[in-house]
This record gives sequence, structure tokens and C-alpha cells, in this order.
Amino acid sequence: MKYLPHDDFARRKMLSAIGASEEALFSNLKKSPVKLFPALSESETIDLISDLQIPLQEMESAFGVGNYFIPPAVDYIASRGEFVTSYTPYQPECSQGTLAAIYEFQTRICELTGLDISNAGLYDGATAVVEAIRMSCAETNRKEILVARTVAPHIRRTIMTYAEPIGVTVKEIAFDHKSGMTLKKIEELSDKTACVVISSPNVFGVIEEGIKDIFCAAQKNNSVAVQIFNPLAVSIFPTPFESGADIAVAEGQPLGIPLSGGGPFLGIISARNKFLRRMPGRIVGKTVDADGKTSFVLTLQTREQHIRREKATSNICSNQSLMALRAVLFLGIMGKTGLSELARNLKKKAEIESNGKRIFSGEIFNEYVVRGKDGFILDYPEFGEISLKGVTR
Amino acid sequence: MKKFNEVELEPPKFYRTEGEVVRRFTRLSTLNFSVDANFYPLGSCTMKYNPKICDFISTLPGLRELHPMRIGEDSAQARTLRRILSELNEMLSDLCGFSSFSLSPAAGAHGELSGCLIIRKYHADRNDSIRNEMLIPDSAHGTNPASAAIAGFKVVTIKSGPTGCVDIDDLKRHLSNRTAGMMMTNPNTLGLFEERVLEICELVHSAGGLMYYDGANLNAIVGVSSPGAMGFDVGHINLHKTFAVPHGGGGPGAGPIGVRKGLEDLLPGPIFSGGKMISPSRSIGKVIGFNGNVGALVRAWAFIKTLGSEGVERASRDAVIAANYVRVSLKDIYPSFVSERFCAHEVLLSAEKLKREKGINALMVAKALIQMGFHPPTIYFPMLVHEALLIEPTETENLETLDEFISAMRRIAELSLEKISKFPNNTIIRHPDEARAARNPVLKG
Amino acid sequence: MAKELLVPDNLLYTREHEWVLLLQNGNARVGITDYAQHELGDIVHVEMPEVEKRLEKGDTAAEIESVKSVASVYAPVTGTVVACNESLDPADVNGNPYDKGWLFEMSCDTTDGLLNPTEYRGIIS
Repeated sequence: MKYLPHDDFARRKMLSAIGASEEALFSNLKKSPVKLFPALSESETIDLISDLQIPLQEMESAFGVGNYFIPPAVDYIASRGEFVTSYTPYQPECSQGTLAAIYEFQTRICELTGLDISNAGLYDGATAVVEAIRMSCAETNRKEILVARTVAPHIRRTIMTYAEPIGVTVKEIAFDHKSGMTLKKIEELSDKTACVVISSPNVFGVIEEGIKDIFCAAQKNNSVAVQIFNPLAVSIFPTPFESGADIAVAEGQPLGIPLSGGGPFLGIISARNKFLRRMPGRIVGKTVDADGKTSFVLTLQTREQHIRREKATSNICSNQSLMALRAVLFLGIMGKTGLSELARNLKKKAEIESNGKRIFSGEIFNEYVVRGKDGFILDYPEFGEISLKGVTR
Repeated sequence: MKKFNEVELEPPKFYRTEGEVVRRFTRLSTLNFSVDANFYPLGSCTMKYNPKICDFISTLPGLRELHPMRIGEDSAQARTLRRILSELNEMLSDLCGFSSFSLSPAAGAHGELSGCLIIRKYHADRNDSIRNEMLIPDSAHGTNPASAAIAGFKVVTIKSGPTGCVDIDDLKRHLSNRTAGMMMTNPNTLGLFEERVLEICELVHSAGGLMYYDGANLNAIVGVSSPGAMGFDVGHINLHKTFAVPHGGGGPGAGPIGVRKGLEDLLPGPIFSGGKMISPSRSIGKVIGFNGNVGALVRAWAFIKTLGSEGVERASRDAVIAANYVRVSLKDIYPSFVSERFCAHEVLLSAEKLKREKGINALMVAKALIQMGFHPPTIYFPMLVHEALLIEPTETENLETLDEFISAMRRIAELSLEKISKFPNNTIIRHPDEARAARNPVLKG
Repeated sequence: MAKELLVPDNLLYTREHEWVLLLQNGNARVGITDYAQHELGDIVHVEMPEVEKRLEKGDTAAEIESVKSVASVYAPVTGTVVACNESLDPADVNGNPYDKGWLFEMSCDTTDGLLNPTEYRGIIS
């Protein structure tokens, strides 16, 4: 057996030290036999999936995820066994590599968003939105949330799954059918509104020009302003900070993470300082060690499940750490100039490619909506058959 | 004097070249302990060897480049992916004694939350929403009560008895028509097989509740027994534990959620079955944006295929033998109230005796192990034991390594306090000030 | 116990390790005892009660966080919160639990049910 080092001699030696038979160790278990299947060799296993060795040709983006170029150095470093096979950095002396990488990730995310704090990452963009909603409800003690209908359907469906069980009501904000942008005047704001969630760019690829006004109105109402942003677009459009967001969340997949048919991806969250104690997930902090050297540790752990249990800010334990590493490598290799150049090129290409075909008049980033089923089908019945396309190179 | 791999830990403002990125992160990587390089006996984490074929499969271009919204299409790549995910569903279902799995949850805690939502909907659909209490043992991992609370349940804690297992009388006292279910793990977090698990499942079922299995400790039983056989209705597995998906410095993992017959309709979609994708009719809804951590799922598929059913069973048996071997070799120096009994795949020892006699506590043992090149075991968990040391060797460590570890643990007990207080002195940093980090948070450069 | 724990004679105590100082204006100043800070370890943060909040004796008033744990501070008497130690440095709860490390002040109708120093010493030994 290729992964199991013990032979019968070793087993006998251990059992003799234990002073019992192997069966005695399992005597309290109700046995349940399983269907037999053979152990395959590595080459046999690979032969079973030989079709996955055929590359796909589409270089496309939709719903904020796509075949963006991944610099080879990202794969190179992110496949090092010291990163791949290490554990959660609970023992700081054993994990300064991971901790330094995550601290740098937190630093870069705050640079991108302009906000004060970030964390070590969440599962994906959709669940990051859910966490932002949870933070908002806890902060305001309110149970109604407003979500723009221009937020992608897969995100809105995920929100519904978690909202209902805890009595959170979700109301949707309408959008202008010509521009594809959320209406600026929000009728639904009330003293029950915990937060307003707007995506910019939104699912139609359109930049929400009214976002600053909407967030202003939300904050006057003591509601939390939550922006879903795009980690590439943010280098050439107003940052969440500039738009007045309190909490900014994103899907980090475009930052050096492969599509892999759906995951693992990367949830990004960033917020104003006042939300520090409500932040979900792991956070890396800087400190000094016994010899005065700069060191990193997981900090503010009293927010988390292993200490607070049912009163934790979130239940998240394992996160997407290796994907955060990929993101920080990508951001480091691209640099600020590389990122804005990439963003500008994507936007230009999308505008040229979609010229005359876009159904919405609003300014776009790198994704857009056309009539018909040429791209990825979008479920907005009022428009009939429409689909989403986007560029990645 | 500078060491050859010394690196400035603070992030630079920017990088001039790709070379600077590679230089920095290559050196940073050498500061990590990892399963590839070190023995990592973390209890409850199952730090077993991560086979490289699993990583290889996740890099194949036909998988890497597949857009999540194309997974239902008719291309050869999408069909193959759906086929192996369906096969993973089938294999996990058979191994766990369940009827079907949803592969969506991205982690164990995510699976627990999904499972709690399933239990909630089960009762709601039967107009039995009065059932809002989730029973959870006091020894449970923190994610259990956290997940239950987020799903809208009131957490009711059940005491552990003097043997370290669930106190059946305390359980009976808390069963009522408000009981939605109970979350349990077997073996439990003390590394003990819950001998009365069949009885516990029956009691909760009779009271109208469902039983949830936390799969964190599945490595002790898979191939030998199964949560389904024990009477559980819903449960998650941690693919990054039992099924060798690498931990990646904290993630990504995957926490697929399985159910017994009759509950399949409630699973979060999409379900991969027979090469197709199914949307369950009474689903709790989407729990993640796209299809789950597919990169982790295919790794687990490759692991199980190369192990075979005999290998899966042999792995569990070897894991339990190895843990008991460590137990009998250290229980004289590190006794706990459970160390005289057979343990499962992990052994709960304690430094309490050592602390009393020589002033050496669990934290000091951990620091000394780091000095000697071993990643420490889990310390101070579960909280039922003082100065806890929860050790899980796993089945993939050879006898030489186990003996080295045992010998190191025995040597530590002979060290002077003065010497131990300086450990580790061979890592890049030593005893970071965690209080300062929490009092004055500096979270970015 | 390795070190002698302080139990000042001019204070009253609770079983949950809070101390009470009766102020001249009749209000109660509240903090946690030397025993409590020793058990908790390095304290990193205190979540204070809201001023003007009405608390029954035994209600959770504040929360104290150390690096690895959280502990509740319970209202030792029934009353209304009148002030919190706004400029509290968490390290003072460890170093000066009875002095600079005070937590909050509340109105106090009666001190019935509080322990005297001798009774409290009896509990912690």
C-alpha cells in the first residue's frame, strides 16, 4: 500500500507494546463493511481522467470569475510543499512563512480598498457577502437588509439560504432598465434596515455610478454600506473607501487563482476600523518576540469559534489560505502599475468587443450583456433571452 | 550573523522584479513546518501524508480552465469532471453509510452549518418548528455550537460523564419536544469511542430529533464502521483530514455533507450523481457561490482511487494502532484520566503530573518539541483535561518517526526548567508577545 | 498558590470574583479581583456596559478578554450604570486590579448578599 508504511512486523511490534490484538482496539464499533473496489496505480488513475488533460480554449469571464492569466511564478511558489502541506499557523514559531504571507495579503487588500482592516480570507465572494450582512445585523441590531437586484443571482440565492433561518428579511432594490444601474433613490430604507448591499461593477458588468449617493443615504439612516467590488476593477475605478463603503467584499478568483470548475476561490473582506471586533475568520497581527524581533501571530482570536463557541462572530475555521497566498503573489508580481494596466486593457477590449451589442448603456469594466445565448445565460425574465460575456486577456 | 535563508518578515512596499517576489517567498516558505518536512501530530487535524498525484490532478488544464458555469455542458472535460464528482459522491456515501452527499461546503464548519440548516428545514417542513434546540456535548469542537447558533438554534450543552463520554442521564434530562437534534463526533474529541452511540441515537430519535455526525475524527473508523451504521442521519466529512487534501496553511479544504435515505431532497445543490447535476426538490438552497472546492474534491477522489477499499480500511486500523502505541509509550509520564483505556486514532495525554512534579506545563512541552524539530500536538484542547496534549500520529508515519517522537517526549520530561524556558532558540522568532498583538492590533504594513 | 493574592480589607466581594468599592456618593465602583486577573492571564480587551443601562444583580455587565479566553463580569448589585473607566488600559486590570484597573460604576440600593473580605478569602483558598 503506497501511503501506508507499516508492514506486519511493525504492526506486531506495536500491538505487542499495546498488549492487545487489533480486533480488541475496535471491539466497541459496530462494523459496517463497504463495497470493495481495487487500489489503482497512479497511471491507471490518470488514464481515467485523460480528458481533463485537454486544454479548453475559452478565455472568458462571467459573474466575476474567469480565465485570467496566472503568472507562472504564482504556481511555482504556491506549489511549494512548505506552503501547501503546512497547517493553520496556531504555533507562530512554526509558521512565520504563512503568517508573513497572510499579513502581506491583509496589507495589499487594504491598499486596494482604501479601508482600514482585512482578514486572512473567507470561502468565496458569495459567502463573504453573507458575513458582511451578519456583521451589519449584529452592529445595528436590525433585521432587514436591502440588496440590489443587480447583485449576481448566485450571490442573492446564497444570501437567502442564510437569511431566512435567523429571521433576516431581504428586500431587493430595483434598477434602471436602460443603464443597468441601481436606482439612486431607495424607497425601502427604514429604521429596520441593517445594511444596503450594492455590487460595482454589478452582474451586468456595469459600474454603479450612483453608489456614493446610495451609501450616503444608507449611512444617514444608520445602515451599514456594503460594497461588492472587483479586485481588478478597483485599480481604475473609485475604491470602496472613496465610494463611502463601510464594508467591502469581493470574489478574489481573478487574482492568480485557477477556475478549476468552481473552486477553491477566495472571499475577500475589508472594513472600517469600527468593525474590528465583528470581523469573521482569522486575522494576523504584528508583534515582537522575546528578543524584540518583529513577529506575526494570529490575533483577536476571542472573536472566533474555538473560544467564543456559540457567541462567535462566525463559525469559520478552515479558510482558503493557500488561495490568499496565490493572491498576494499575483498582486506582488503585477504591482500597482501592472494591475491598472491590466484593468485598463481589459476594459478597452471589452468596450471594443461589445460595441453596438451591449444592451445596457452604463459604463462597463470587463463584462457585458448581449441579447441571445452567445454567452452565459442571465436569469432576468423581464429582458427575455440575454447572456453575459467578458474578457480576461 | 546572518543565516542563509534569513528574510525580512515585514512586507516591502512593492517589488521591482519577479525575482524579488520569488526570493522573498522562497525564504518565507523555509520558515514553515509542513507535513512534507515534519511530523505533525496535531490531534483532531489528521495531518497525514498528502500524495502528490492528488496535486497533479488538480493542475490538469482541462480542469483548471473550466468555468464553473460550464460544468453542466457537454464538453469532454465537463463530462469527465461530473463523472468523477459523481463517483466521489458514491464512494463517500458507501464509506459513510449515507445515501447521498452534497459536495458544496468548502470546509467542515461550512458542512456543519449546512447540516444544521437541513435539520432545521426537516422540522419546518413537518410543521414542527418548535424544535429549536440543538444538543451539543461540552467536549465538542467550537465550530459545532457556532454553526448551530448561526443556523438559528439555541445551543443546549450536554455534560460528559466521568469516563469522558456523553453523560446519558444528562442527555435524557435535556430531551424534549423542543429538541431538533444532537451533534456528536465518534470517536469524540478525547479520542475515545463513544460506546453507547447506538443508544444515544435511539434516544434522540425517539424524542423526535435528528443525529448529526461531525466527521472530524472519521480517520479512526472509515472502512471499518460508518456514521450511517451508528444511526446518524446527517453528517459532514473533512476531506482535508481523512482524505489527505493538503491543509494549505489553513485551507482550502472541503466539508461535503451526507444524509441518510429520505433526506436527499434537502441537500444544498448541485448534487453530482450518475454524471449529471441535480437540484434537490426541497433544498435548503445554495450554500456557496459556485460548485464548491472542486480542486479539493478531485484530490480526494484520486486519493480514494489509489488507496482502494482495502487501503481505506487498513489506513484507519493503522491510525488506531499507531495512536495506542504512542499512548502506552508515554502514559507513565503524561497520564490523563483516559490514558489507561484504548484510544481511537488520537490519544489525550496530559502534562498535569509533569507540571506538579517538575513545573513543566503543556506549553513548555510544545516549545521543546519545536526545538527538536517536531510540530507540537494540539495543546489545551479539549478543555475537559488540564494541560491537555492531544496527539494524532496518523497512519502514514513510519515506526522510526513514532519512536523518535516518543523518545523526544520522554527526554523533555528530564529537562531543567531553565533550559526549557529558552526553547525554541533555533526558529526565526521565539515566544512572540500575543497579548501585545491583541491589545494593540497592527493588522497591516 | 505561588504568589500571595491581594484581598483588600476596604472592599466587598462576590462569588464570581468581582470587587465593590462603596463611593462617597453611594454608588458602587466595580472591578475584578487579583485572583480573577491571575486566572485569566494577560488581559487584552474589556467590553464595557452601556452607561444608563439598568442591571439586575447577576446580569452580565461586561466581558473581559484575555489572549485565549473570554470571561463575563456580572453586576454585583442591582442598579444603573453611571460611568465606565473610559481610559482603561487592559494591562492595568492585571497590574492594578483594585486601583487603575477599575471597570465601571453603578448606582447601588443595597449591598446585601455581598461577601466581606474574610468570606471571600475563604472561597479562593
